[in-house]
Amino acid sequence: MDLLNVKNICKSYVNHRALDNISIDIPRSSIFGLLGPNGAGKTTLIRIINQIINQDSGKILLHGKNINYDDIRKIGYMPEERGLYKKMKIGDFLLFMGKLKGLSRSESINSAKNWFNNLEVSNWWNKNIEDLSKGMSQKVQFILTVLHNPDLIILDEPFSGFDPVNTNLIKKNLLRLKDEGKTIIFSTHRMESVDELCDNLAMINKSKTILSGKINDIKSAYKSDIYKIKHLNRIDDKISNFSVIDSKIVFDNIYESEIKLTKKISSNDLLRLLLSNSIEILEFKQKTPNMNDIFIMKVEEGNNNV
Amino acid sequence: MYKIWIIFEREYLQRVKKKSFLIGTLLTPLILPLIMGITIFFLSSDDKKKRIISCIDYNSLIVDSIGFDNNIIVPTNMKLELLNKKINSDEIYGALVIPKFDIYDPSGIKFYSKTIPSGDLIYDIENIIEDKIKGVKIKDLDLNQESLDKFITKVSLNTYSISETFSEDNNSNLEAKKSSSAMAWGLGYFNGFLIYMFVFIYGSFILQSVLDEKSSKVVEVIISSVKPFQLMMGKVLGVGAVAFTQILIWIILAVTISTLTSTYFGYDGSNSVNEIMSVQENSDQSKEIVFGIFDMISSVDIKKIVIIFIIYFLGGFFLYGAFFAAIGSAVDNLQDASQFTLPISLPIIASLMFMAIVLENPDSNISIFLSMFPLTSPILMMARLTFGVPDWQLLLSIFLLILSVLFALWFAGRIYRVGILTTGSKITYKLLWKWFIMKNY
Repeated sequence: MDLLNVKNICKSYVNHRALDNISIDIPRSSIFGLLGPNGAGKTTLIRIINQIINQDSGKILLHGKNINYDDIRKIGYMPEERGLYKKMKIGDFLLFMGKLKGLSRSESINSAKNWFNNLEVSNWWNKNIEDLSKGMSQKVQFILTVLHNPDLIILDEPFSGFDPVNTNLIKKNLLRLKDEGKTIIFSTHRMESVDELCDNLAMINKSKTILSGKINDIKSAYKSDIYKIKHLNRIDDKISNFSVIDSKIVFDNIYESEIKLTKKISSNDLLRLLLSNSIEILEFKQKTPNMNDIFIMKVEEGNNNV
Repeated sequence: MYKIWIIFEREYLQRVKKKSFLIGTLLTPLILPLIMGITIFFLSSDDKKKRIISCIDYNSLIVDSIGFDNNIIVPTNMKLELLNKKINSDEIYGALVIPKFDIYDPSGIKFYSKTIPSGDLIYDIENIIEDKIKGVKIKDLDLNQESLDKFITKVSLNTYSISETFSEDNNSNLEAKKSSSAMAWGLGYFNGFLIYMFVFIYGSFILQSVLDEKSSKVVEVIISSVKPFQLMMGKVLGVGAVAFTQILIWIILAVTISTLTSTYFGYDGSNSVNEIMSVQENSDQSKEIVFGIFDMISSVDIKKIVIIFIIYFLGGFFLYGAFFAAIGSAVDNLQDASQFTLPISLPIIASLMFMAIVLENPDSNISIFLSMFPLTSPILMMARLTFGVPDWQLLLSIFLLILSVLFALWFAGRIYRVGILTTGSKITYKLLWKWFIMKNY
């Protein structure tokens, strides 16, 4: 079942159209990647889901029902532009935010202590915010986001400012939250983390959805017709249906080659073709694109069409 | 409402808990008397320098040396050129030259000095010469000094303001409040100035606070939990409450100090000025002055003034505070803010300038208009108040002020909701207008 449905959302600002008929379905207990280059409209969509701004038309459904203002308690949002009150103590700030989310004092304290443990920080309750390093304040911001145990966690560029160690720590926690049944949307224009975290994704460019679905489906849909092969004996150039892009000797009579199909044939047919040409296959792998390649390809495709 | 309260609470406590608030609250009332004290000290110590003024007198009006304050006029036979040298070498302060003239047409008196003398000094010297000429005239006309003295009469006017309900006391005498126009002037100026100060200082606190949230980027974190309007209201109310606390502390301090002083001097409000006059010979001067002040204070309706002050203070604060909040939300830094704070500050500064007109002529049409017009009424109605304002004017003015406050908050809210999320764009009045009329944001 879907936790969140975005249906035909349109939004225009004073000078431009930010979202044009965007529809996205986000399954419960999954990590959803909202991708797109800068200025694509990701943040606008997230702000609409958080009811910070209103859509011009279209609907947002949470648990299948029209979202209303009380639902923001079920959402934890970490904006891209995030900061803290410099002149406050961490504890006071967490209590303040907890109160705004409807938590009692003790609920806030318990939840915060819990998260201090999860994120491997000592008790920061009485620390001044202005004394925090960038990485430390990022952790505090993450705690703020999940303090009230929201069903839906929305993270806008969560890993900017984190070092690799802390990035892994946050990733670990995100996966754990997913296993606990939480749904996570994370918006980014950096693809490295998408591959390893996301189950589903939608790609927005120039205020339109240009791609959406399960990450595995998308990857297989964008499987290229390039194969990486490790084999004995040289491949003869004259075999039809494919061309050799690259071939080098690794050791003795062992070759590593990249071949590209020139005619649409299945991988089984390709394998048979090679075997029948007395090439002994040691490794056979279809080259799948990573999300970064797909992203760049789709965005460039879109730009060329305009 | 609850969320406004949470924002309010944080804003209020953050500011009140600061040491600078406590220090500022306690020290500010001391600063004004302190500055006055220092000025008086320097003025009086400056006067202690003895200044010699040589006088060449062709009329023989000044025969002996005449001392006044710390100055002395010494008659001399020296030539002006020599005196000139003495002035330049700071041996003497100045030279007075009284040419030969007809005492009924004295003209051509000259005073030479290195620096331009103060008005006081010139006034004093003129008085001395006039006095001397008068003496010569009395002899010349063969007048009697005694009968001349009887000519001089001194009258002082006691002013009373009549309240709409007359009450007669036991002796069937019409009782009207004794008023003092000097008191009304002073209190009016004080009240107007206090509101001016608070609107300015705390208005800029609001601007600063909104701007800080925007530039520290905490604002989007907050408004994912509260509506922008709630955030703005909580903030304006919070800063307002801080100002209110400060005033409250001052009122309590003032009441405590005045009670303590009055018990010390043994004044109880029932003493009338006449009684004080009758015991005047026995009492020392300082006691008389203190009683006089207390009598003047008791002549105005303090309770009414305090209540109306609070109304206009809150009204003025919210009216301008809303505008300051809107500006803070729209701009990215303090430099950009100045182009928008100027037009907002103009009516406040203008109010202070108009205050002189209003205090001089509290019932003129312009004064009535300015005390009705919401942008100037908080300061100028307070200035007028002590002179007596008809109830209908007061109510109309308050009503207009409340309407304007509601409009300003609504207007500011519409700017604010867009402004706090907008960074990096050049803000113009046209853009602000577009934000304002935008239906759906």
